[in-house]
Amino acid sequence: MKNISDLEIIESVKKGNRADYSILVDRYKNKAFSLIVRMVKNQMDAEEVLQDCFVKAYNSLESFKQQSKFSTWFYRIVYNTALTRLSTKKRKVENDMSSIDELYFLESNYNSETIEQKDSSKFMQSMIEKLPPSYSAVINMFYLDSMSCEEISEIMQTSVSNVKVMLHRSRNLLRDILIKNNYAEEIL
Amino acid sequence: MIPIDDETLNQYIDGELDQTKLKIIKEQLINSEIDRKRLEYLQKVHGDLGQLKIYHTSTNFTSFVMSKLEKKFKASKKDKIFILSISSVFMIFCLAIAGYLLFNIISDPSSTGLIVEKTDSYISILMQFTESTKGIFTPQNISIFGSIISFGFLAVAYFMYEEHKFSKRKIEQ
Repeated sequence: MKNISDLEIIESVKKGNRADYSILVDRYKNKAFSLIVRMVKNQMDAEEVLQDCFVKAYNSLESFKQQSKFSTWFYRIVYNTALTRLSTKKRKVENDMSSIDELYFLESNYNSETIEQKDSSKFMQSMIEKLPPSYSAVINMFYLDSMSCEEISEIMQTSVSNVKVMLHRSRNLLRDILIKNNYAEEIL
Repeated sequence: MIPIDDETLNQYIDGELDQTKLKIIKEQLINSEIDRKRLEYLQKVHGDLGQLKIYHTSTNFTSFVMSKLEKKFKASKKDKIFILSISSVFMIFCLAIAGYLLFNIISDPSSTGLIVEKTDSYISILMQFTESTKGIFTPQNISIFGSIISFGFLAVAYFMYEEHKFSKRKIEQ
């Protein structure tokens, strides 16, 4: 099953073997779920959004023209559905190129007294959850899914330079928070 | 010495610097402890991000999605049958009107004579058919037909809405 390519599965589903779609679901569910959790910041909401994404993707399989990889196409559905969920919940959806000052509110919110985590990587995980949706989406796709900036830009429908700016800003911010909370000493 | 900016440090980590710039940066990193530390911190972040936690869906997620798709498929099939049966009723209704008109034309002695005389001319039958139709669709009859059809549409729309609501609820369960 693992050797079957995404395109072969899609062809089989299009031919009427609906059950084969479960291979695609199994293949992408956890990575896509991680992306949504980091965007909507809630696991229950994320699972609902992911179900919608798989249903949407299934219904639109006919329109998938194979111009891009299935993963890119599917992640675009995931990213847009998560954004829609955020906007319907009237949560704050930040602009992709928001001012760096807006991001740094995170830094001011965290001081060493409030942090219980002893491990810097665990602390980092918790900080990523606090990043604005599109920044955590970039981090997730770049590091967890090993996607290139070009692929991420295709998914987010923005320029490659915007993706790079978001990636670098996130890293710089996390580094500054790390230094501020004395975790940097661990590496010295 | 001007400190290396964050953007360049990030490009250094991503391996995006060209050879000339890379050489300059490497030299500066040897000479500046501050820059070296800044890079180390950034590399630490880069390394930690590389071990990003993966979240797992609930165990029965795949089967839940598949059953949802199955229900949706069945619901759309049911919708198709519903639309088909409604359009069939309309077709039967239209055919009944057409049949009634043709029956009137054929059973009319004058028109039977006409058919006998010009059996090969279907045009004349059609002409008579349109004449009869004109008779049926008088302004008064049109309003009656309109009311019946509007009522029909309203009834269909209502049942379709209810059916849709029911199948949606079933899918969400």
